[in-house]
Amino acid sequence: MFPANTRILVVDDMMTMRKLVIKALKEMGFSDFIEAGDGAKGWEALSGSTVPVGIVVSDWNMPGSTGIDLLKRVRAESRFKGMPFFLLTAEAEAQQVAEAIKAGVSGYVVKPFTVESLKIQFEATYKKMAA
Amino acid sequence: MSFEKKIDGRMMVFQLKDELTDTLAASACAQAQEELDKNTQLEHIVFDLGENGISYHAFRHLCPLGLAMRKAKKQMFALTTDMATHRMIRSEGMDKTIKPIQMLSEVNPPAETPAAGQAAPAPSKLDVSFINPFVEGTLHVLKVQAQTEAAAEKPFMKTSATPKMHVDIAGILGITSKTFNGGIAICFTDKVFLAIMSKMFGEEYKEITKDLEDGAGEILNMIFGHAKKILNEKGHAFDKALPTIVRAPNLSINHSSKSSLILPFKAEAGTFFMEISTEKF
Repeated sequence: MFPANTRILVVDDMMTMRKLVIKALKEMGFSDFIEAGDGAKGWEALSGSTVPVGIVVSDWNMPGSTGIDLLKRVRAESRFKGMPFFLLTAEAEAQQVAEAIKAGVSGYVVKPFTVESLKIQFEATYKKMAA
Repeated sequence: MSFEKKIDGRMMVFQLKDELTDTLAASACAQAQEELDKNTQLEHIVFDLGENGISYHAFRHLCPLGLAMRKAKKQMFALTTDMATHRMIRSEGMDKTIKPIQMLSEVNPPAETPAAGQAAPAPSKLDVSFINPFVEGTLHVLKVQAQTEAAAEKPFMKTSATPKMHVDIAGILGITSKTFNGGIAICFTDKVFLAIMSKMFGEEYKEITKDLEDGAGEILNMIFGHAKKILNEKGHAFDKALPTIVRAPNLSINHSSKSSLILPFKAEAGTFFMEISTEKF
């Protein structure tokens, strides 16, 4: 599993959802988080973080810059190459999942989510990266 | 560990006495594919698991076959009374690929689903197939995300004669599509909303702070996501929508359309309701 001290960027326009995601991540053993309210602010947080961000967990559907916009931007930047990027979204339609996979998402978690569903995605990505 | 298979008309059933493991899924999917290739009448593949579930790794074999079947307008089913498996399949967004069912009678011919691009009829009064995804979505979202058990009560049409219902906070979505123009709102009293938020975050809240308010919108967002997926499979064309939150003591939700459908729910902390409003009602 990813080291517990990995800094995680949580992006969601809904404060309650950020809080819920962080609660789940804490239950998984993580403790270092930064937050942003949309894709553009997420990019600023990611680029400007003094401690390098190791994982991004982002909502898809946000006003302005979306999670998929942020994912594409991250994947286009060589310094963030291979960064684990998880989309957490209420959009569970095959078309959306396909779009996320095409854009290079590491894992896709459908809301409502459980700690277990998030953990499964983290573990699968970690194993893939370690292989 | 093994399985028995039988073919009954358009249906092929794999009967298992244990969990559907990675190895069993690989073997069953290979046999199902072979049968699908030679038997064009075959439309449904059912994994009859009894009380058992599916191991997570089995999905790497089930999903490609399930997706290929869907493309061919066929369907794969997981018949199990293990509700954790139903939840897992749904939470991973795989229920289109492998549909979780509790009874064999739920295996419906795919002809009931409109062909791709064919619009579903607009919902009429108390159209159960339109309403149910919202009811199921509400119960599912509250159970999974807020550990809150709720029960759906009898829906009714809101008219000018309906007594005003107490609402302190509501999440509202405006929706425009080929088949539906209207709005959806989820409405809570302070007491019920605080009880749900307290369970969601595992800490007791006594007042609705700014930080908590958008929880109403997020709950509605998740319910809509659940319903949208099911309804779009039936030919509706709902797009993404962003909820807004309205908060005031004892507020009224007024929609521009003539009437609304009220879906009441009862939870331990009290009642709350969803209001679906469209000119078609």
